[in-house]
Amino acid sequence: MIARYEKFFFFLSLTLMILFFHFFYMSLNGLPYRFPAYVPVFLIIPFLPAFLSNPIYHLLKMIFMKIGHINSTVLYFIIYYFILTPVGVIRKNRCDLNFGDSKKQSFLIRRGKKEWDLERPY
Amino acid sequence: MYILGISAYFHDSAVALIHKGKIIAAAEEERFSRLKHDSGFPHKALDFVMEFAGITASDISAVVYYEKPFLKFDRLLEATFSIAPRGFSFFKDSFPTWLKDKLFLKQTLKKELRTHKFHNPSLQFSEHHLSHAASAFYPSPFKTAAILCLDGVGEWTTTSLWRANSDGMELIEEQVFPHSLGLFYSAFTAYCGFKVNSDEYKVMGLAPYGQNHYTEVLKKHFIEIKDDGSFRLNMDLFDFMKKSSMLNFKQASKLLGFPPRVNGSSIEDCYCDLAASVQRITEEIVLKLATSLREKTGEENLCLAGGVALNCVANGLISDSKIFKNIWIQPAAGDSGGALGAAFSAYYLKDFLRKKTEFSDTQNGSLLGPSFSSSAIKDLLREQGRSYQEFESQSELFEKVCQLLAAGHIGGLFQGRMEYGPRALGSRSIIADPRMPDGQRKINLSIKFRESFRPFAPAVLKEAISDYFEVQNMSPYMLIVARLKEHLRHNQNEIEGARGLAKQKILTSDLPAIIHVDYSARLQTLDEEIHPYFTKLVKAFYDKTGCPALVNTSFNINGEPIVCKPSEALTCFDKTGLSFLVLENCLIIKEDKGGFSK
Repeated sequence: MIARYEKFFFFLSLTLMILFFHFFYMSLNGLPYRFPAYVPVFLIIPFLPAFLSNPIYHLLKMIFMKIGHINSTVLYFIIYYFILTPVGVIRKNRCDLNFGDSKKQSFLIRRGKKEWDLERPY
Repeated sequence: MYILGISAYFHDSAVALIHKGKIIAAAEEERFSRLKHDSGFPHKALDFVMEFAGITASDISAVVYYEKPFLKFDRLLEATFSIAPRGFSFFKDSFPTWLKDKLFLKQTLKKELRTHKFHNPSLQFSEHHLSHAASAFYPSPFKTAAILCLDGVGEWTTTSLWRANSDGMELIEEQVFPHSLGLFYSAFTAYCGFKVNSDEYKVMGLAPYGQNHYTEVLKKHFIEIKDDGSFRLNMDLFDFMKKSSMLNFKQASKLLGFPPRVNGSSIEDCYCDLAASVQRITEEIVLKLATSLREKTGEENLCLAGGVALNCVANGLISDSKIFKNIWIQPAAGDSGGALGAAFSAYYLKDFLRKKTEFSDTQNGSLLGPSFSSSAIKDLLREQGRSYQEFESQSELFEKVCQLLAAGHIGGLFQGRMEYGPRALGSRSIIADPRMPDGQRKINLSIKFRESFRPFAPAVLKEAISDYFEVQNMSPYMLIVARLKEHLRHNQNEIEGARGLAKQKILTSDLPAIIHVDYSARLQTLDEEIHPYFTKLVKAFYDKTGCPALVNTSFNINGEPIVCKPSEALTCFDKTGLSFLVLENCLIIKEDKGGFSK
């Protein structure tokens, strides 16, 4: 069973790594951009997913072995509630649901002159 | 060198090809694949533009995708976090696709392009609203302009205000997800029982049947609007971040006092009233934004793009308000137009090129798709054993067509290059005499097989427009609604007293097929320089009947894309109540309507 689905678990770990990479680096207001003085500390962050994904990896293995097959809903349920929700709770979000509570005149966000970089997909 | 713009993987995939800042060809994939709003990679549209230009992949200097996929993913992640733990349903539905495909879009695009013999293409990524803004400004006839882009959402931006001149475009202000006018409109489109990202225009068509009784409720609970047109949504009532439904139907029905409409059920007055209220709020926001944009930029010219720019009633109000002296709206204002904007942004912004200004726009009448030769059409007709008449001279063909139209027949018109954008502009159109008293019902029910309340648009000669309509700006791409002149209106008191769809039964004017129940019409103003063939046909009809307009609706049946090839036009002709069909210089008439012998 495990050998058969090893590839699948590998992709799960990879997905977690992509997500973490996104949180800390790609996201335009990621930590290294907010705190440039601490950049060396952030260099170890890419290794965090390996530690964090390990218990998830084993938890999923146990569930899937118990039910006898890999269920994608269970997979996404675990990712969502065990990883995304805690991160979502502790992290300041750019998607502001109550946007502009203090704004009296306008909800428009002022932008300045910008050079368009078409080479990057982000 | 040529630049290729691509929009794909959301809805309305399309390809556009430009050369030295001039549009060579552009087309939506749905016309070729026959899948409405096709979101796949536009293989067939790409084949068409390359073949049309007579070029190979090596002639293309850059391929530009219309948005930045990683930024979009960034927004999706942030949205998921912001509503955790309530967004599991949305996460489960959308993330597998992203993690498997969309996140690796660069590789996917390269792989798809390789099937068209692109080896290591220079792949670039515009931004969603940059693409919209570029698609509106660069083909426009203006040297300087203010640009307003309004849509559902791209990466983060939902509304953007720009200033543009020949040196480039500057984003002045924007609003970001989840506060979106497009999503607000779509949410109530779903509540009225119509399809999201597809049927928004039905809500616009339904609005004149209702009264804006719900405007206050909507403003109190659903949306807050500031004086400069900026707004925010009450995210406790909108569900588009949590699951695939757009609105919290349970809470919304408590506030509105009636449940969401089931698709296909009868349309009661409350839904007409809701449509009217949503439309009124949209108009208020668009007008306020236009006013503040004028104040901020001082520009006299306005360019519009984004899906909300297809709301021609709101466009008509901007035009009537005279906030701007001139208005130009991208005919493919939705995401398909993003392909064109992406190509333009790479051409002008990457190399800091100056925009060349022409006397007229460079959209070529939006006739940017494929055309078919007379000989190919004749071969097809012979192959299918059709009886037809071939006309040597255009005037003879027009004479016969006008005779049929004046006798109350409804026909299909298939000629020249196909239109780019959702409107039929005389190349793939269904045409009829607008004076027919039951024209709207007849075309809706026996030809288009769609809801009877939906109005039809007129194509009117530019010279005659001011005799009939109160109009400030020309509308060659059918994107501005104007009101019929007061003295030409019939039964105003009866219409004001009627409720809901009962208004349909009251005669509005001498042109009932094209005048909606609020005496408005979505105009295509015909200019011989922009649409020469269609203008000549309407002129011939005017000479024969004294009526300077024709009904012009897209050549398709409900739920299908507009026809692209002659064979599709023939199938549509056979399946519907059309009496005749013009295929370039050939005319086919159904046997029971006096067809030709073989």
